[in-house]
Amino acid sequence: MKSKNILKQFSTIILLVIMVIFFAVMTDTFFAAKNMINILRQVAVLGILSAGMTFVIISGGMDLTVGSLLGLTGVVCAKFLVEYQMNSVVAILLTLVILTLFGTITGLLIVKLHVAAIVITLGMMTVARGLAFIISGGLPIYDIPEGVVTLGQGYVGAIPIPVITMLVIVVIAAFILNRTYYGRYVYAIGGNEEAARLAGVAVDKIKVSLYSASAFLAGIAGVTLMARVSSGAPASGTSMEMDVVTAVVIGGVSINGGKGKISGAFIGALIIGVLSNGLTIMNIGEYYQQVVKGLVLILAVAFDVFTNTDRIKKVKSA
Amino acid sequence: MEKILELKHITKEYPGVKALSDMDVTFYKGEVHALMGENGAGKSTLIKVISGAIKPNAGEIIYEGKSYSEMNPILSQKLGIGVIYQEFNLVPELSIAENIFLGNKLTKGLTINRKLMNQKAREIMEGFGIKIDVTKPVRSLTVAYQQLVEIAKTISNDVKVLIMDEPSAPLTNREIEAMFRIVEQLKKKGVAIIYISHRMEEIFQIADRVTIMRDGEYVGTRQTQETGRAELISMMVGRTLDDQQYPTVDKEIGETVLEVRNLSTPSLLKNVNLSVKKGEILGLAGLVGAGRTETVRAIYGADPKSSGEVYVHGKKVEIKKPRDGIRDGIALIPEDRKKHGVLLEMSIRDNISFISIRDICKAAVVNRKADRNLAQSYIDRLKIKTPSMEQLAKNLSGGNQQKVVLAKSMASKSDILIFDEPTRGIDVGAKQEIYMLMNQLAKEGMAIIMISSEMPELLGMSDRILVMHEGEVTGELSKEEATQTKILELASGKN
Repeated sequence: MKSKNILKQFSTIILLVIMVIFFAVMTDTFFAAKNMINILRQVAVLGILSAGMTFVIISGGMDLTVGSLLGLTGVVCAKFLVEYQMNSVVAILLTLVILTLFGTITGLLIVKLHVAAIVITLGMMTVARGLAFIISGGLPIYDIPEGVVTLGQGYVGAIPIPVITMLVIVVIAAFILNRTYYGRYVYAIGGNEEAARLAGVAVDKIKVSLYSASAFLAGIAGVTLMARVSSGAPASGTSMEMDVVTAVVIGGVSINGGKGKISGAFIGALIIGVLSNGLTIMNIGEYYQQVVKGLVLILAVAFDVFTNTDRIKKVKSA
Repeated sequence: MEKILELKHITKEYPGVKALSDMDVTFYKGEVHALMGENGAGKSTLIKVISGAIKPNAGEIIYEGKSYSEMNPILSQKLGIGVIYQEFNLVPELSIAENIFLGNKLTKGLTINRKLMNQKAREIMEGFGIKIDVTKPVRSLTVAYQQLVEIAKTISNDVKVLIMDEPSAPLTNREIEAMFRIVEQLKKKGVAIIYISHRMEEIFQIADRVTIMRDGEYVGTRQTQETGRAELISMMVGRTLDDQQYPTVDKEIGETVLEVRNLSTPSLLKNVNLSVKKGEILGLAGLVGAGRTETVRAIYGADPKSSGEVYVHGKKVEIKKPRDGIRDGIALIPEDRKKHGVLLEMSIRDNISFISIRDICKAAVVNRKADRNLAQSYIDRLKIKTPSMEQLAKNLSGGNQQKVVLAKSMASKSDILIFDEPTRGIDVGAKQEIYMLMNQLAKEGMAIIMISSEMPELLGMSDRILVMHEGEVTGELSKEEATQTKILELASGKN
């Protein structure tokens, strides 16, 4: 059982290392510093979203809205910047406020209606995507100001700004989850909601805050994405939520809640990034990549089940 | 008597732990053989070896003269070994009859022969002396009846060995009597019954022989007629224990700390009044469904009240949710430890500081040193047995889990402690420790409310006993006037 624990603890890192070695051997260009940084930039949006999703899934919830929120963020922010000619800082902050409110509404619907998060967020995902198309009239909004574009395309030294944004968010998220009472409440809600409530945790409030935070992070990711492609497109981020869930689950966060780490989810995001990048360099087409990604997810979930079955047996024999 | 099942040198090892070590025991037809031992003694592991849920690392299982190195669940069922676990395996939406014949449906062509099934189910239940509509869904039954269905289900496959794991835990006294009659019937039919229980009285009432286990090892087997309570306890704990089961303490009872007036809830409670004083242990007695748990949950804020007032230290307080109860110094140590008390997937440290976590935070950040110190102080004080405070709570025994729940409540600096069945499913040694802790806490000035279904515990621990029946308080007894008979009369609504 101990060896199994160790395997579980490091399995994602091992998987990542194996993949890096594989691609480094198979291709000439993969293992170059430039490509490494490139991978990090490609996973920035995914990494930011994974941080929020990790909180939500650890609490026993699910947030399918994040992909659509990328599109919504892009068009809302672009509209503020381009059509209303707002100051960049004001436009971005206002966008983040709107996104956070959207998340708050999602959270309130979940706790007040007592409907499973997956259902509510499925609905809100569609709502958000529809709003993005309505607001933009279905077309991308171009001519994002230079200063904002830097957020997606600029560098500090050799490091792209999106990578810095992602790292800052991952570190803060990990700190909140590991070191604050809030983090402990999140684990407790996912592990045993009723016990948490009886211990005085305001379960509903925390849950609402989680969906607000997840949407807020989707806002940051959305602005980053908009800046990277220099336009706010209503269709951007389509089915991105699935990549995010995939990353988080590959990273060892239990889909049943109560267990998982930000660092794991981050590695999960890197695995997806390395996979896409490496397969592309190997000239393997998009369609095959999808098959591989799907299989990696199933592998990860199977592993989760495998280690959890053991846990159930152990509790019974206690 | 004829041997049916013999275990020889059974050993089961997990990395770092020997759950069973060189276990030898023999079971005979038509005998009730009790297994006793503290939590973690290996009883559950042993029955799982017999039922095939786990495979032993070494040893031999001899069943009806044939030797097996291990069982598996299908084989053991085929051989006639049935197990009734503490958690029932019933399908709530299916009828009693359907549950009884789950897995061995009586078929007529491709369809289930419902008529035959219902008739057979009725016969089995009537054999138990129970007339009941077997087409009723199981979810509509009380726990006691559900257990009967579980027993019926097991014996419907002609069992030769029936293993019962703490079957009396959810039952009231009268229901236990009914269950015992069924056990006697099975015994007459030659079924070997392996009976696990923590309750001494039951062992002497129902068992022919008793085997004691400790730390995964065989300690000894006794004829129940030739042994006594004291011997069994000392075998279980490995030391002689004072037969004085309920420790006493010199303490002072002070002013009223908590007063509840005319508490009602939408579903059950009607004008419940109670008060508890500083240093006092108030016992809440009553049968299952009398409203004791509902009362304390409503006081604490876990369930809504429809009317009623709560006063803490003479001041009226509004308690609408658990956090309010905690704010006013009330702590609830719930009945269902695993569901409501302990956070199984979290460490002991996380559990202990859970309620009071904000007190050791600076700007929401947990002070890790304070956190560890808090956990360590309670691990020492309550003698929680664990290799490390980082151990997950799920790996602890029931008694130690209960101590963790208690530590969690104590750390929240409450002065009103509500214990709902504080010693349910806890072994003898740990029970003693919990009793001593409760006394100590009372001595330190806590006001304690204790719900208990164990009569000796109520009589031994309480300074005053309040008896409830169907959502109402039917009487109050002082320690001096309380007797088992008086409590039972009040609890059954006679006064």
